[in-house]
Amino acid sequence: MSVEVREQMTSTDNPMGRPVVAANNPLIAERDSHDTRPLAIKTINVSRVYKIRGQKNKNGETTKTLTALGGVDLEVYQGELFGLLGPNGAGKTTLIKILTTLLAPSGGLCYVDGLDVVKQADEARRRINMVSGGETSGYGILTVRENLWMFSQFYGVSNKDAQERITKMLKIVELEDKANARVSGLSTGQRQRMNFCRGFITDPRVVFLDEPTLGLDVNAARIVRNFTRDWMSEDPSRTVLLTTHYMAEADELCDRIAIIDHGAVLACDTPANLKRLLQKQPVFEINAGGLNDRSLDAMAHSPGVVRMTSEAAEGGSAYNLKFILEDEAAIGGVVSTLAAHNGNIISLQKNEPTLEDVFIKLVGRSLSQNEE
Amino acid sequence: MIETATKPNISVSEPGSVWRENLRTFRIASWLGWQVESNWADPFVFFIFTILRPMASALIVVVMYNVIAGGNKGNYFSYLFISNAFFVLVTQTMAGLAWTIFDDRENYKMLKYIYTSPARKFAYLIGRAVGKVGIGLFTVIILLLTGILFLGLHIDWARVEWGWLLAYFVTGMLGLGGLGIILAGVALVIARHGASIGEVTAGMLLLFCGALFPPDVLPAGLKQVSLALPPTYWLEGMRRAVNGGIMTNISTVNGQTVTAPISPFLAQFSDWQLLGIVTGSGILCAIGSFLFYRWVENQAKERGMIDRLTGY
Repeated sequence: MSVEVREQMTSTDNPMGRPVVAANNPLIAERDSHDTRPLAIKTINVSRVYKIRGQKNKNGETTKTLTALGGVDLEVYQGELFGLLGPNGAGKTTLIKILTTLLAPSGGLCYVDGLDVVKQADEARRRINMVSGGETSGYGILTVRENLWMFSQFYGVSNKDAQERITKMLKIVELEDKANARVSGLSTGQRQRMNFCRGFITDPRVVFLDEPTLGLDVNAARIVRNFTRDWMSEDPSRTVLLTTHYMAEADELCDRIAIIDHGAVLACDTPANLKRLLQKQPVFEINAGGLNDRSLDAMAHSPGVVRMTSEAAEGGSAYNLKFILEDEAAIGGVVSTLAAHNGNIISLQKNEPTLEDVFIKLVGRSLSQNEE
Repeated sequence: MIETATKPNISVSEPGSVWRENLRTFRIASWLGWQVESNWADPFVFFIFTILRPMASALIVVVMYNVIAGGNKGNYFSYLFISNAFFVLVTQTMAGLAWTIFDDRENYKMLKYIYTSPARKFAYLIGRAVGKVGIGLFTVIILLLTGILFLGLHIDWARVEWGWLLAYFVTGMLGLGGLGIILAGVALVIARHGASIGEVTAGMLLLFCGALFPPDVLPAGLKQVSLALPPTYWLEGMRRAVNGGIMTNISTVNGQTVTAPISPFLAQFSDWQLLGIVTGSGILCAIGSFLFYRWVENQAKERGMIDRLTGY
């Protein structure tokens, strides 16, 4: 599937195509001064810069660098299910790696459950756990139960509690019949479900879920989402930081969402508030045929078009076009441009704004589209 | 500390919590190591890798010796066979520890989860080595029995100094474990070559630590390398303990039978001096490896190497 975004330059872009985040970004909701909820996660100006090997000047200093995170400030409340939404390479996983003590930040401060993850890493590790989706981890020689039991022991969970939790968790993720099966004999999806159990078996205070439903079938993904919500509701002090590619998942699960791109937080608020960003900017979807690059460009630059994405459909003979407009009246100009370029409209509809639309507005491209 | 959160389940200030975590990690890692090493579910694979491979390496040396010595099984044959049998422990411990990092990171993809858990990483590595040392010991016994039963190796059981054997074994393991952890640290910050670094280092040690020939016969420069290696003294100690004294060679010079130590240089040390060297170097290796691993761990965190898959 190929998705393209034609956009007009807006005040939030710079000539390099990289979003500029103002110091006081109005899209990042300020904490209410009366809000006394404790924070589970706080990052202050966290950055991460990778040095690229082989690029050195005469003094032997590395000249080429890659900025994965460029000064991220985040506050996640205790008891919150917080989502990080962003395309590949946005910096989501880098941030999770830093918060889970796997990676050292290049600058800034990170606190998890009140602890500095750099200076108090050992203490922080006792209170956290993480799950990465889309991977086949696990000691193949051990059974599912043994794998989970082993990790519970690293966290000092009593044997009785561990066995009870394992039985309960395996039942929830529908793996109870595989409890005594070797991990090497499990399918990828079954391994992922086991790994998901590993993340919760230790009853952590803060769980980091990095694309937990990636690669799971619909039923397994639903189980994971339901469990995550139920687990949160059992104890109001539990916190989850979730990264996901799936807008619907973020919309359904998260109390608040931060949209991140190029290592910077572009917006941070509840899904409802984020969608309100587009309240005054209607979203239209047009399915049209007879279009080419020129006509697509012309439509993207029609007066009143804030963003436009195009996705080839029906074997390339038609396009699904999505428009974010300054106001409803602008659709007239779009339709006229389309007609002037001999395009024919198959369908046209006005949509309620979704997180996907918010994402397109802020990032300049859809989540499924890799940056060129 | 910023305003947050409630009291943790375990506090750093809780007395003994760090020790408890170390012991717990060691116990669980030993169990895991044994499960991984003793893959009894496939006895054939176990036999090939644990028994046949080291045995083949030892037999190659025996055959080479027999060709050169014309079938004469003098004391040098015992020197060679016993050294090579115990060298299995050097390979198992050192190469095994480096392999643990590679295996956990690249094959099981679990290293990041171990690292984000409260498991104590040093205790974890030592625990994982326990299984390897156990298997190594088993192999040593099989090798010695094979030598005695089929290859004409002579061991006088009445002369074996069991106390010294135990003392050398324990103190030697300290040094070998330390060197293994240094290699594990190196494996943490290098790419897929981490898989072979242990084997390569063990191969180099085979040449220089007196397993094939005494350090005395090496060229001056290489002799110094040999004498700087802790396993050189450890192997000498193990040989002495099994032999019941310094191993000697009997030769005929001008019609007269002459008995001389196989390694005159190492023979100048008494058992206590040798044990002192093995213990001292073992403690140095252990402390050095701890410091080195801490440093290299920070490097790995700086460079994002802990969970980076390089083997694909």
